[in-house]
Amino acid sequence: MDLKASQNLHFKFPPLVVLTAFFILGVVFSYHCPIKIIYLSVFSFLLLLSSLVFLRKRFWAEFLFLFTIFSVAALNYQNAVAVPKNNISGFISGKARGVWLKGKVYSGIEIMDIPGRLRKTTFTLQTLAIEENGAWHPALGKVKASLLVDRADFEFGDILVLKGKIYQAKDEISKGSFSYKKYLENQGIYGLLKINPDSLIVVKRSKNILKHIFCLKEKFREIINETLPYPQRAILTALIIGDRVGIPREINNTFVKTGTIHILAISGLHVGLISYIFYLFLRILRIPRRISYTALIFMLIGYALLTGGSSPVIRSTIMAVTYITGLLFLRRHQILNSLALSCLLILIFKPQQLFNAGFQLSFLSILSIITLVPLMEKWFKHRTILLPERDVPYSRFKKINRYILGLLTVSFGAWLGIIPVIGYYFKIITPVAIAANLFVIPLSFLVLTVGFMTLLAGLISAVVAQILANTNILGIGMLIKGSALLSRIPLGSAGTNIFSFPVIFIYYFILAIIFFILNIKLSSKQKI
Amino acid sequence: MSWFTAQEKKVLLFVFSCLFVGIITSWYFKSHPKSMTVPLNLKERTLMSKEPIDINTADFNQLNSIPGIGPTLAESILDYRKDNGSFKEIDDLLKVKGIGKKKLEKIKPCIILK
Repeated sequence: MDLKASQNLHFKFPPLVVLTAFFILGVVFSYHCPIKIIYLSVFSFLLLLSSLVFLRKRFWAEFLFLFTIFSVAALNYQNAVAVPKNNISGFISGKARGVWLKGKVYSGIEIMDIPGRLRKTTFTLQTLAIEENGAWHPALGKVKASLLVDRADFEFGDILVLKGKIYQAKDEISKGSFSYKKYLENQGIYGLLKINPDSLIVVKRSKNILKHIFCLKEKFREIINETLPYPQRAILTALIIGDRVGIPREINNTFVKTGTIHILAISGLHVGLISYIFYLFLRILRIPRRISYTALIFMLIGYALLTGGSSPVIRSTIMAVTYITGLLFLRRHQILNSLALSCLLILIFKPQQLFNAGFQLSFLSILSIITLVPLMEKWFKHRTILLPERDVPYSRFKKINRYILGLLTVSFGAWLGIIPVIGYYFKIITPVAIAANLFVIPLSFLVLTVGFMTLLAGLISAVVAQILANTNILGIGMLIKGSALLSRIPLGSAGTNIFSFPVIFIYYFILAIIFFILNIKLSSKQKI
Repeated sequence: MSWFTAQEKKVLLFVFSCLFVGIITSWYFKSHPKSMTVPLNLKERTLMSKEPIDINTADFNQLNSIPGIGPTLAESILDYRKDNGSFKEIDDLLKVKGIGKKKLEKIKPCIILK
């Protein structure tokens, strides 16, 4: 990550940040105050016209322009959550019922392969029609489908005819508790479907290019399953290809308690690492820089699609692509601008993502790292925790010093940024996360590197892949045991219910004030 | 204070105008969906019917209606029955040219042996 650009302590909001902030406000307003689309459309149209008319007027132009963004964002959200008349949700009642459906496989196939249990295959099915009275009736939408088979005979993009039990997901039990139904609806999924494997037939095979990407994902999964025992293979599958269904609950809870659950979600760490490895590989082959950069962009987009395209992956991919594009066109990279761009692009296509925990955690952690870490580094410059720099005679110690300081500041900065969101969604506060991340992040970096090498080797030689995988058996074992040990530290984590919306707002308001005060203080010290 | 130049505003307004048009179009198609019902074809009716087809007595049309069996395979099954008599068990279908293990798994839900 390029922190140099953000080390300019004269803090100015880059233009895209302002645009994105108003877009977010529009989505939030629309969520809390839903206005009919027809009124919003007329209002947005008038604002667009006014913005064009008053483009050069000094006073009105800025106000109208930003208000137009706000209005279009609100309209976009209302359209995104509007359910079409022929949506599949209209055919789903409270009780599960058997139906015949025709649909398209919309996502990669996820396989839950836990020893002692039947293999469970899950995927998202984009429904096309439902059978009623001897005819197909259009029924559009998505359902989360599952079936118990050893091997799925279908792939991404295939059109299926199948029979299954369709039902609604569980709604919140009490006010404020987790609603699986709302969580799925935010992703455009309106029901759950248990498929009868004997009734499934593939009507049409897809020739989509994404199919090949998902085939590669399945090949990677096979290599991991053949070279690693359980539960190590479940952890590596989550780390590399983003499939978390096979992780045992106890291990998942350990990572939540230590505040290190983020390593099991594909994000900037993974995207950064794969970019670095791939770029090194291209440079070793003496491929010219420009071609390497271009190949890297396509490779990153392919990796984002392979891992399922969740918000953290899309965010880090867009940021990486804008950075590489900057290198290609010899333009300076502005990290806040690229963060805002990734946020804006995700919200234009899926505004409901704003209310998704993964989205919020991903953006808040990066925003707090970008804004708080440079301040902390400046603060600690002559006040290092281990050894004061002026007393250190050897450069090797300075390097270790800087490395540990860097890890600490990033870990603390990210932790500060996400405490309220973790507290709100998981009802937990994890002070141990600051120390846990010092151990977990470097180790997961090593595990990922060896993991990627195993996969590449596995495409050529099973023997070499197994040798490399043996290293990871040790590495992942250390990760699991280390997290378990850290989760047992007294007062390392605690349950909490204090994080309501007013508390979260006050927390971030105070954090912002502290940031601006420190920024002014340190920039005035720098001038002196 | 101005965050955007006039040229940047023009570009952004163009982009958001395109987004606006896209939203209105999408909303229109959501509120006026095409409601064409399509009757089930023969293969789909066979798959969904609770009456599986007897592989020893089915004629060409009945064999052709089984999902996974086309005209060529239907002919092959009839030729096998002519040369070798009735199938004694479901797995005997593997001896028919064009039917492998995967194909057999696919057609099993729709067939029976009496």
